[in-house]
Amino acid sequence: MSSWLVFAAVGLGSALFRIAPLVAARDTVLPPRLEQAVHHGGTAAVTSLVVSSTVGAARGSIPLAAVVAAVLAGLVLAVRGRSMSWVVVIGIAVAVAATLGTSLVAVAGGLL
Amino acid sequence: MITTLEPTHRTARPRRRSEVALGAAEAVPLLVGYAPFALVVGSAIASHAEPVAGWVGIWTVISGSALLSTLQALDAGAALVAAFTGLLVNARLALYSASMRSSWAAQPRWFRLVGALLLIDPSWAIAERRARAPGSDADRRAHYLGAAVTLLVGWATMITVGVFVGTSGGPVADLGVAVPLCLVVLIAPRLRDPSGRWTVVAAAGVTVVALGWPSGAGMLLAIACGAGIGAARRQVTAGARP
Repeated sequence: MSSWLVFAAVGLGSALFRIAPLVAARDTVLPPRLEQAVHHGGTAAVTSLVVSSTVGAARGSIPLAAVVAAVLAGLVLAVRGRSMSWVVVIGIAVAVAATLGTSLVAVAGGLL
Repeated sequence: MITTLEPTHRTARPRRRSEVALGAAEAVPLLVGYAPFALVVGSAIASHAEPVAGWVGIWTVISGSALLSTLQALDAGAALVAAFTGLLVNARLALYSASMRSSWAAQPRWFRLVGALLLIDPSWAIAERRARAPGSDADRRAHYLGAAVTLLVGWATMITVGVFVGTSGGPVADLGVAVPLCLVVLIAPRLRDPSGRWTVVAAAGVTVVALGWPSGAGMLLAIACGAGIGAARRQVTAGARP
């Protein structure tokens, strides 16, 4: 099977995933519990992406501990209603500071 | 009658234009955060045997994680596995679409179709946030289209840059830290609600446990557990109310 066929299949399937619930099954009435689960499912998906992208972000020169510190700081700011730009700027600053901090601790540990 | 209608027409259009701009502005920090990932996807497309097919996939598959998983499986020589993996990773889109049913119930059919085709993690989260803010259906439509089109065009452009220049390490790779930072902003409003908190904790816990699992499998389990626990918690809260 060529790459063209694979991408066509994944693209078509993805389009169906996107369209079917909104357009085709628009008038289908879901049981209340299932409706609630669907409502929370999107949040669960984005949460899962937060965790996987946090681990993925640690592949550069920023260690995992620094990325986790940045994300936690960003989470606190976001819950307090700060804008996305604020969260990103402060979060990156925390990541840089935590990276420098861990590097300094490592250097100091090597000297002692 | 004419004198009362005219000012409304005059003010509705600029307001809608500003909603498009607001939606686009909300998408820009997300795009910056996704830049390193886009370069990685672009680099994977460039090294693939049929790069044009991969590039076309940007516009049909859209999701970076699904594209990358499909490309990796194709490079390993497993076409059927590649198609299955891509679909598995993108299965969450059905959930995003289903969760927008009530918010978009009054929107015209053309918008539900176009809007559905542009649904992806950040565009869904932006649509959800805007749906809870004051405004008309037309305002929400303009906001979503501004955000979703900016995300798609920006994402495709960055991947195309990645196809030609490849991934560069150093500061660009480190920008990846902006991705979880952008995403936490999208889930933060849910943390104010107890059932939302349970959803987030359950989904995060399951994802950590399933980090080494094949692409998409851990995420699907996290979605199932998070959604189930959140719904159960909501049921308990509703039952406890007098």
